[in-house]
Amino acid sequence: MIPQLDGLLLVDKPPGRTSHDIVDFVRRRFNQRKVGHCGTLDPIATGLLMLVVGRATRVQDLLMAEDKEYEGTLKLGETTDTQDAAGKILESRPVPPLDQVAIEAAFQKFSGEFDQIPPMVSAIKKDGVPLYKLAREGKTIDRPPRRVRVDKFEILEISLPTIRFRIHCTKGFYVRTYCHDLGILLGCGGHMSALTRTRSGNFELSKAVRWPDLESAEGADYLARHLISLPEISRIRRT
Amino acid sequence: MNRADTLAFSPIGKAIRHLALGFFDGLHLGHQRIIFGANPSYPPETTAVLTFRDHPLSFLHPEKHPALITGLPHKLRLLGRWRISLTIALPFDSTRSQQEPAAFLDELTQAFPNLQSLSVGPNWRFGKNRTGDVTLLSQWCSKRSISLDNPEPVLYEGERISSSRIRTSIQAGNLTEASAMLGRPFTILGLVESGEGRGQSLGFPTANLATQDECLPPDGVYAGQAILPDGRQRPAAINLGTCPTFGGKKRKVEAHLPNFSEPLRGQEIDLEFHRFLRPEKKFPDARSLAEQIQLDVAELLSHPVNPIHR
Repeated sequence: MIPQLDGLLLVDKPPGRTSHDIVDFVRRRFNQRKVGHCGTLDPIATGLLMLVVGRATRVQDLLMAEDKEYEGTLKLGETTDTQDAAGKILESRPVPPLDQVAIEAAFQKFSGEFDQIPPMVSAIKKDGVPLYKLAREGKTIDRPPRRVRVDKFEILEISLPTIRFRIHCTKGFYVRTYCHDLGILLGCGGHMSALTRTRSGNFELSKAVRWPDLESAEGADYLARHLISLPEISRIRRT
Repeated sequence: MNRADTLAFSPIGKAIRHLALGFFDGLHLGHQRIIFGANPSYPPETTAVLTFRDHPLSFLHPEKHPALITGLPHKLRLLGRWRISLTIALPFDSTRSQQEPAAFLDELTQAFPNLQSLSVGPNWRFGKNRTGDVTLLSQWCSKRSISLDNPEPVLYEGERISSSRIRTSIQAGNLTEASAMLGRPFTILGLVESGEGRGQSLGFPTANLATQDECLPPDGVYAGQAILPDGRQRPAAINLGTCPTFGGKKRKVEAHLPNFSEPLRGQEIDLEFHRFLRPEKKFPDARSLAEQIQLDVAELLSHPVNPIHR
């Protein structure tokens, strides 16, 4: 019989795969029945993906509810249908010269508590149907705005048309939409061209297993060695 | 104090006459009554405590896992100070959760062949699906001429002292009440690790504590004292929080010990919390923070030891 393990696995997600791909991989490779993730990372995004295994699935909701930290790249001048680099360009506009003051002011506008309208291409459901399915059929429906919070932002690098930033935000925050909205505010449109999740609650990307290691790993031993145990999860969550 | 993590037979177990069973989070006055006995109390040199390394809920219902008042190192430290002869901290895993009560009792018989008394808290349950209870224990005890000590709960202000009640007090910042039920000042035990050296640059070096104690009072600055490994006591200005002035996020416990400059890194220290001084807040710059710390330290030293606790 294959041992069914319990715990939390921190994975550094590679680009080009869905969060569910990673869940599925772990489930099959290590023969684990119960595996889930604590918050989707879009296919183009990289960084911290937290997988709950076995009995740890019981704390999935608790872990999902924690604040997140991201490093992202905003590319100005191009508006896309998915609000990220994976989508079709809907509109291109020249990027006006923008100084640091103007850029900071735009970021400042989207800090603290504000409302965000989730993107049409998202896993949010309307009457049981995920919005992205409706979007594929070319439909757009009204989405109720969600109250979100950005606790902190830092502009890391400005090399127009791109701006690299770091933010601390609440759960359920769409960084893609944040980039889209910043683009509108700056007058030329924009999309998210890269995203890395660096932290979720007290769990940090620096502690995550690298994808090439995980992909070449065999046997439940490997998984057992890298799982954060249930009592340890509780400890890390609280301190 | 001796330590073990199994119920295998050992010469130390053979010398044990009194055994207390329980998770004992907080080791509060109710737990102390169970462990020490009463009229007369049990001699600690022949007493053992059998507990779990992890709270059983961490396995059974991780979503309900409480914030622990005393992590395992803290518990071991207190039991050691109380001169308890042996502490066994069993891992709680699927095998343990599926064990029939009778099988657990067989293990006890083997580990402690010469028991005279066994103490458990009110309503103590054990074994698979919590099917073992005090009735079953008392049958097992009477067959072996072991006296079962199942004391009434210890009360504080007319109500039963419990770990969950103490957690509520701590989290509400009611440290006087928590300390009264613990029978000692509310304390965090931890290992001093290297911080970011920020306190040093402000002129107030701090000891950063890595702790396994999970139940913490509200963020803020507290007056208290540090107890060093050699037993020396030093006044301590304790900061609990995220250091918002520097945009920190992770919750930290750090203490500044005025007029003390010996290195503490790598040492295990106790931080007793005596008085709440002020909430944590964000200062416009490092200088205004340093000025506030100076005031905090003066306030701390104006009456270093809280008369309530001493």
